[in-house]
Amino acid sequence: MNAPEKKDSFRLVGTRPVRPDGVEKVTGKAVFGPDYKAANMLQGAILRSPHPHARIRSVDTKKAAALPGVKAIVTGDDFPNLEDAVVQMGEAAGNIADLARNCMAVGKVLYEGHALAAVAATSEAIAQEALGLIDVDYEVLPHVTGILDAMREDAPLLYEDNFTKGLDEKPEKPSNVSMRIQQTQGDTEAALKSAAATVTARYTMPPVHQGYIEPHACVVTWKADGKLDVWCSSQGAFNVRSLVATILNVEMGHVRVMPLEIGGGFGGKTTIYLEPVAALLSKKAGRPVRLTMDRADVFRASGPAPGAVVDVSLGADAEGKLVAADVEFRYSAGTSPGNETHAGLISSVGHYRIANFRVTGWEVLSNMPKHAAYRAPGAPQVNFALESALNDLAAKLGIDPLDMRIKNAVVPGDMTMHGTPYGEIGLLECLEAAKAHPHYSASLGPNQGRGIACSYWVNYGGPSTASVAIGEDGSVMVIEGNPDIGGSRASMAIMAAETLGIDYDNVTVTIADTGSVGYSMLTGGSRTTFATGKAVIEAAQTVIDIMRARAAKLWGCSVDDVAWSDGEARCTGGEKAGETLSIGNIAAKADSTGGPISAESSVNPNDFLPGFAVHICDVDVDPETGHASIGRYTAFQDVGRAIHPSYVEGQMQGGAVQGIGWALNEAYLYNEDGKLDNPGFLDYRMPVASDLPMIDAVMIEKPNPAHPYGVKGVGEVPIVPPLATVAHAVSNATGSPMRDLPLTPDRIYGLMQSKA
Amino acid sequence: MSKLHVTTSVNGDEREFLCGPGETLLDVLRDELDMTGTKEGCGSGDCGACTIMLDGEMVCSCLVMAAEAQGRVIGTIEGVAEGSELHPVQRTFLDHAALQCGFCTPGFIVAAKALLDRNPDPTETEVRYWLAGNLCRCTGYDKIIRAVMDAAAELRQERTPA
Amino acid sequence: MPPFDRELFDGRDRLDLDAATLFALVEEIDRIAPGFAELATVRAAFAIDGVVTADWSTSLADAHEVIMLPRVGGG
Repeated sequence: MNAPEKKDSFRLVGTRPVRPDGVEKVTGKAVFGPDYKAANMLQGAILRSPHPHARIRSVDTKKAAALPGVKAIVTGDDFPNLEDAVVQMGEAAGNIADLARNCMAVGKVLYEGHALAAVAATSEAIAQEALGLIDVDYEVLPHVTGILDAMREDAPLLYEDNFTKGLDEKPEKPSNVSMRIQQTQGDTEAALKSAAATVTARYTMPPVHQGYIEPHACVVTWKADGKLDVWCSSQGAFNVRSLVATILNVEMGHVRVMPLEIGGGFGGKTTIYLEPVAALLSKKAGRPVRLTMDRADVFRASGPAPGAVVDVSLGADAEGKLVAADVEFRYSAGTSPGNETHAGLISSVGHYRIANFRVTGWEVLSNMPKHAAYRAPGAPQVNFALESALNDLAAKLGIDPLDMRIKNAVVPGDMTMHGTPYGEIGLLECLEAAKAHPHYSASLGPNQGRGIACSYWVNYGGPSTASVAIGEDGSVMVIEGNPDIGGSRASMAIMAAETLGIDYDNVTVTIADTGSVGYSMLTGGSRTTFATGKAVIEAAQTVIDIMRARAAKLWGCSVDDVAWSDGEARCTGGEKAGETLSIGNIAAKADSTGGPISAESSVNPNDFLPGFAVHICDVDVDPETGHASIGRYTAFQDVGRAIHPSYVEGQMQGGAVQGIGWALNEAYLYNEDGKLDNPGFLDYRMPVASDLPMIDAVMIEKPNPAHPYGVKGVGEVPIVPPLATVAHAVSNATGSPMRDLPLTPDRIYGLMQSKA
Repeated sequence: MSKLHVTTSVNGDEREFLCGPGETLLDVLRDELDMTGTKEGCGSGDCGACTIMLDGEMVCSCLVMAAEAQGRVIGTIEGVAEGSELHPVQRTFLDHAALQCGFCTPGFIVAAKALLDRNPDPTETEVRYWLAGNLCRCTGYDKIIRAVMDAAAELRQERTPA
Repeated sequence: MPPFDRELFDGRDRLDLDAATLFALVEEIDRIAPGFAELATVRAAFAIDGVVTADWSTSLADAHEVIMLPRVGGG
């Protein structure tokens, strides 16, 4: 694809128009997951385990089935018996049988809240009453939730047949450790011994939830012809289709998924929970079935991102050049393996030039819900540890922490941890912008502290399809398959209008269902504006070529004599030279020049570039209570080129605040009985407006040369640096290192007291 | 269990419905009256997505029993715009890109309008505390606060709408 | 090879192989490490001399080094 010649003279790229779906969303008309209703629909409800670990001896549904109004009951026995098989899930891969058993337990329940039976009835009240009539005979088993507890040799085992993968030899005994991965370079031990200064410490954090405000919900109808219609909000309707079809053992083409508006996902809606259950209920009842989670279900049975225990040894020479990093991290995964451990490895030390490193990751199963992706999944945990150690090391050497990073930052041509060279990355530019920013040199008062950290996220490309169709009157429709989770319709409309040379308002964007457009991988991995944007641009270019050919026919000239500029065809040679035809003119004659004008483009680009972010934070710590409040926050990010800057800033600000919540407040609190103590927003304390200042977003534009408009992914990297940034600020305010998250007032106060 | 008959005013229209004694006003708005602009994020009054006006007071509709609506005056997100004319808060939310997913947006707009109706010149801190009962997970609140401050300025006629 | 189902390869992280394309390479590796091909379809990405390549029919005639990358899921 050719990039436009004058890259800095765009008409629309870089402007901030109102998003196409905006009015629907500010007036309450947009239809989200829980808003959809089908005619003659039943309401479903799910019975969830009160125990964190138990064998299901029997499930007696006779009394529930006899309740008037109950139309269907489903248990694990109703699910097809699936073989273990690794399939694509989201952008990575997972075991489909694990996912099916997470939707509905078979044989054992593995966490508090694990679904084990479901009812569909004529009303929510009847469905709930029916759940109370289901008798389950549990054999309660010992449970384990903590990472280090689950790794112990005498820990209760989730599976008798889980043998740690990734060791040089298959272990003799089963354990809860699902995987070890390791990558080494150079001689880490020797380099640490000869380093001028070293820091060695352990860092910990509990799991946290993505915290989307919209609970999971779906409506499914299994029609008499054997085909299924699914209405749900998710990060990818095609992903829902393939997972539902595989779990239910039906043909993929027989499952049609209608994407509803999505009320936040952050990775948590890259998987499924309810859809296969609603499908089986619908099959039995012969009517559409709705299933919804309440907030406690969302906390107990969906979500969390891994908790972590990370050990770091970091060494530098006297000038501050990093010489070695030894990182060993252990991530929780809940009941089955995920992808965060791989991502943790490649996000660990690759943003610095370090000749010697040894990074070891352990993935640990336990009686918590199967973990799900959360914005830059697997990166914030290990980054918190590495960046915190780096801040300590800079302090030990008496070097400014930003200078320390500038000395070690990777630049284009340096190697990633994958072993491929970095392209046009802007980490150094971000660090230098942070150094020069007035925030970094502003004075601080008593009990205040400033922190910084920086981070990397790999980003992604992946398969996408989009089509561009010209209406009979010349209006332009973009049809794509990526749910709009944060304003992506606006970016698609901008890129289409920029390419076609027309006004933004002349483009409409539709997020189509799985029966109406070709395949696109889900919205996630910071890939949509990049990859689906490429498909939109390519389709628009094809449509331009078609319209030039049609104009040539109308003028009776060669297509080589038809140029395209300012949204119209221009004749450049022959009798009609100088004449123009608008899209409307061409569309009006479409049927007499060859038929309707449209083009679909499918792409699978791999020339994406990673994201880098540098954050600065000031905190005030109340010495009486230990409460830390954010006084000032500035986020710097290499954004490639911002198509719609407001929504890029929005990603930076939203990611920063999720990270602030992770640093200060948020935690999954499991009690000794293996039950979640805080399954609600009152006790799972996410940041609210009064907790925060404005979040200054400084976009560093270093365009991606492989994208026509320079796009790099921007959505994920901003959640990575806040953990270490906030901890650094609190450490500087109090004089005590902050190595265990979250930094709740009691924890900070305790550390201040023990220091005093 | 017999149902209760309730007559109430919703966005200026008289509405009647039958409800069970355990149903919330949120349930009835969404499921009986088909007004799904009011959202359920938690059902426990912690997220503000179900914010409505009840006799001129801002409330979480998940914490109001449906039967309590008898004879009361209800205002929801569906009644904030006058016909196709958006309220200044709705317009500034769009201009400032103060929504990403948009799920919390109806609650924020109803709450912000309630603030501006009683205090046309709030400070940033006042806006932040007034909206502290509304959770947004996407935006980090920055653009929401700016949108509300801007709408206030517009309502005070300190700026003309774009 | 970065860490990728290490037990399939007895801990080896470097293989010397002849193959005309990535398709052929995957088949070749599957012979050494049975089960790899099935996993590779959903789990692996490849970089030929430093350039990540999605098209497995790409010729390896001039390639010196192929790096195998685990696909990392985003959020």
